[in-house]
Amino acid sequence: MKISEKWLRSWIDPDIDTEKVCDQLTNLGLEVEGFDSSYAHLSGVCIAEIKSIESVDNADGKTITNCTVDTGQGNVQVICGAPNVRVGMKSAYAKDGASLNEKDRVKKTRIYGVESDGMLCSGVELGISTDASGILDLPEGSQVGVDVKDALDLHDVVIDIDLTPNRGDCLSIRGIARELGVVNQLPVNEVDVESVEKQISEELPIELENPVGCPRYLGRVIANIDSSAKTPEWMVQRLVGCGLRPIDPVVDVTNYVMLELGQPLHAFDLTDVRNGIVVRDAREGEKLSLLDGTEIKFDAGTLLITDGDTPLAIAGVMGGEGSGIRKDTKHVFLECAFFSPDAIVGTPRIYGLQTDASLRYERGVDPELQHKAIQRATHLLCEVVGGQPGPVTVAESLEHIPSERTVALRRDRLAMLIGETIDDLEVEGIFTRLGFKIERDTVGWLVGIPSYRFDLSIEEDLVEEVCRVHGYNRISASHPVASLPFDIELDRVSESLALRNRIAELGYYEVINYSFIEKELNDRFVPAFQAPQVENPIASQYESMRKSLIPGLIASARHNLSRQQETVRLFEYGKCFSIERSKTIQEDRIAGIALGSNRPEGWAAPQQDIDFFDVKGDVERIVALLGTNVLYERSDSAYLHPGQSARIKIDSDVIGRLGKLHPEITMAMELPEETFVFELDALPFARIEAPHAEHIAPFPYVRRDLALLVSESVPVQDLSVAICEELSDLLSDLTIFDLYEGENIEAHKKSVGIGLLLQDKKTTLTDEAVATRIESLLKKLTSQFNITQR
Amino acid sequence: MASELETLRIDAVARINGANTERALEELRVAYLGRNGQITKRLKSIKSLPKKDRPAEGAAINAVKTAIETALEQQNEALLRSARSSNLTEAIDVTLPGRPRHGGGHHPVNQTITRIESIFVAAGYRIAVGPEIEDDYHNFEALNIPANHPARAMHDTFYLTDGSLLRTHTSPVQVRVMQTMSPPIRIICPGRVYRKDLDRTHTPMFHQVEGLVIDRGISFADLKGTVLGFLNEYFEREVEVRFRPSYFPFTEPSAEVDIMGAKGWTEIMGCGMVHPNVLCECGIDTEIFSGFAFGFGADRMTMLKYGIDDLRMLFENDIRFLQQLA
Repeated sequence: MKISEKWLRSWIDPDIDTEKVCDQLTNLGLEVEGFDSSYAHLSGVCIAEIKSIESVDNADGKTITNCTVDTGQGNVQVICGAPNVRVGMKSAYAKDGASLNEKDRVKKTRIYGVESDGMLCSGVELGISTDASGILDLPEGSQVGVDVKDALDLHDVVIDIDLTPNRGDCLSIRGIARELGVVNQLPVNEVDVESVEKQISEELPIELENPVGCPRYLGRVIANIDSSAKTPEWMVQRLVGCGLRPIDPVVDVTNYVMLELGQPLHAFDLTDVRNGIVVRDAREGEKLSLLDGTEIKFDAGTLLITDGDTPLAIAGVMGGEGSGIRKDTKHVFLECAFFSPDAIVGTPRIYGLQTDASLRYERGVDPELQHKAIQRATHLLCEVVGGQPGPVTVAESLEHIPSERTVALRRDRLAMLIGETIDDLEVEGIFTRLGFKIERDTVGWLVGIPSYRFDLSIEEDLVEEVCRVHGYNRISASHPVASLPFDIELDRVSESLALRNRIAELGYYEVINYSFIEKELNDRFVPAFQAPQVENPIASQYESMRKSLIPGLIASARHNLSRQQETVRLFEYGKCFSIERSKTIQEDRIAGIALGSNRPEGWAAPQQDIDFFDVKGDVERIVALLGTNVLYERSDSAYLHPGQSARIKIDSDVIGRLGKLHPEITMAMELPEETFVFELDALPFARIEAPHAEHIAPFPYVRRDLALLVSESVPVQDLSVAICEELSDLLSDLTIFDLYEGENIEAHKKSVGIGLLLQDKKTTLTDEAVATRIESLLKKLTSQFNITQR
Repeated sequence: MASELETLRIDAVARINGANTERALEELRVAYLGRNGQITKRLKSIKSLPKKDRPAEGAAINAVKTAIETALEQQNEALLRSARSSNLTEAIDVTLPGRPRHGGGHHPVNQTITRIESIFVAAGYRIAVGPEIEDDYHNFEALNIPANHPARAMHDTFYLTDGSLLRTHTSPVQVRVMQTMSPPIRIICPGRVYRKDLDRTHTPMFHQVEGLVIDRGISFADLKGTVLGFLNEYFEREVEVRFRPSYFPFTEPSAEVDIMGAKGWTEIMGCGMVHPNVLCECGIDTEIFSGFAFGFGADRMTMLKYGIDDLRMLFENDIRFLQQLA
């Protein structure tokens, strides 16, 4: 909310500068976002005198004059279209380059063939009045050359306060002044509101069909207003000081009262509401055209102002097009109501209509304010547009008006929750100045909460009131004194840390991608399951919760490739989502992407394009963390090359995949063909059991190398698994040291060099014992895989 | 006879000491001590001497043999030593770069989270995590934010088509922990959160770290001390901090914490005493226990620590950026 400092100071004027006022407000919980001069954009405009005028030819019958203007710094020629221009007149002159508002700058132009050096301004153009009928006609004594801001005293400051939703009571000058009064211990100059007696007897019937939503509705006819009246400049300036633009005198007055007291009012054209007012819930499908021309269709239950049949306005939000104030409005019906916050809250969001009124009603308008506000508005209206007020018609349901609450505050509780004792007198002073009625008892206080404080209902709320007025920054800092039981339920180290450390050590940089991706992409990578869909995505490429980390890594890789990074090695740890048997699954995964060279360029080692086995080597180092046997088998993932991809398994569970991206994918995504990825479930890594330490036997190792000739279709892993089974009691290590296919070898066969490191844990292994075991191993391999020895 | 032997010894030692290759030395060993070597021959010839002369002659020859052996050994040692020292003069260009390896590292935001975790774990906190797709109950209702509460407008929530939502803060983890554990509770909950917002200072996904302490006699002063202590430790300096009243439905009193930076006060976290409605909802007796909670953006903390001025940089994943901070 924006408020005018001048206006605020007319209510309370502490002897401190703007900055200090802002600090005080911020420290009270009314955060000041900033402050700025109210006519910050008005510059380069000064008082000038019109020396001579002559009409311009070819003006198509319009009154256009060429004026010689004394600006205090010499005479200039200015073209002017205003009917009220006359010789000797003092007005406002905007020179070349002057600015009138955020957008418009004054420039030298030619009008009807005549050069105009700047312009003469109306009150509307300067934003200081609503009078557009001619240029500003200033008093004769005005001094030529003086800046218009100095001459008209347009020096006000707009203070921008970011109010939290609980402080509806501060959405007015009155509310902010009250808070400043509390902290400065100064009285607040409440505006004197006199009752304006009725001059006519006309009134409208008002019916509250929903007294829960609208427990009080005040209405008043004001007849025979002067539709040509203008909003007075003092009022325009205060509205501008609160960030509002003047509109028309009646609306300006209702806005003025809303800003001043916090009570929204609405003015209807009486001719449109002749049948009276019925406040009721909308019926499904009822419609209303709004001031901006849009038509909305109501859900059942929206609180409406109607004339019995036809909706006139959305209660507490916005009026309809058909019943608002028009230029020729003669008779006004003024509405000043209390709508329950529960009846309004949510409505603005449903229809996308946030207004100054709805902002206040959603947060709570003081239910005791309506009489005062309607009198204030009547008084100002009569002053500005004249007219004869009728009586105030009151429709109310007292039982539905919030009753005053009393909340108990215990002295001990206050001290315990703050962590220090605040003197009783200070506590009582704070409450009193906040306008709370207090009654002291043996354990503390009974505090009567005023009608405008919707945010206070429990003891802790009062603790906060004491704290914030006392000053959060005056409360000392201490540390929790605690017992420190050991707790094995929760982690001391993030579950993912060891895994992420390992991959980082392998030369991958960690990335963080959004968890939502394009639906088509998501399904292309993981067609098997449905993904949770975002109903209101920020953009269509973020509509689907990712089922795999790979598409995100691809996007990151592409980003880097397009920035001349030729070797890219990235990983991500994060959740993937899917819907399986109508249950939402969200599980952590870790994935990597690698493309480019197998090592950075250097003199001492040749660079090669990365290949499957580089990445598999990385994956093997990662799964080594598990300390358990992992097997690989040919995979059939949609996004991987069918010949260069593998599923990673522990027993029969698939824990991940690795491989080369499918050529269709690399083509579509403009990636190098040799792009490799892997993705693993993180769950197996989260709770790794401590490895069991084995005795290191003192007996010597024996190494035997086998060169086996086998059909090229036999996976080497099958050979090693068979060897491990056969030699499980002796085998310390197994290495594939050679693989050969080609010349000197039978077609469709390959030669596999396998190195076996053997050790008997109980005795020295003899050559004879080894020979016997190898012989039976070879027999087994021959029968199982039809191998021959080379 | 003795002097002849002595001459042999002197001559042999001199030749041995003069041998300057391993090979020459070996030849000398063979010439003296080999099967047909001079000493070997002499020892064999002892048998031809009268019995009474044999011991003396044997002893004399053996003394020379020992002397030759010693000389051979010493000279061998000397040759090896000189070979070693001549190796030392061969030099490589130590300024050539080593064989390079790929660099790698953690994302700056995750580094920040890890650091924050370790700061709090050292103070007796534990780490708790929870789901990112949440239900309305844990994200809002249990946190004292009923439907249509104006505070919901502070959270631009992403809803999923099945009615669930992407958590807008890590506070639902608080609820889950409080509903399954009993006080004392000291946890921090790091994780991804989602809000519908995108500009220089907002991304639709970001990271929060939430802290929660529930115990007997926990006060607002304790909250202040904890926040101050943490900020000083995180920024590794005395930070100028301001607490100002604010509003969160799940805390009362509530505060916003600002730190003083180059451009004035910067908002850095929200905190407060856990609202009694939240404690009650989680089955904690508010007459016995009280607690505080605080929450802040890990992304924002990262930006402040490393001087990053555009939040979106954190999610572009440019390797050059990641390398700088790895």
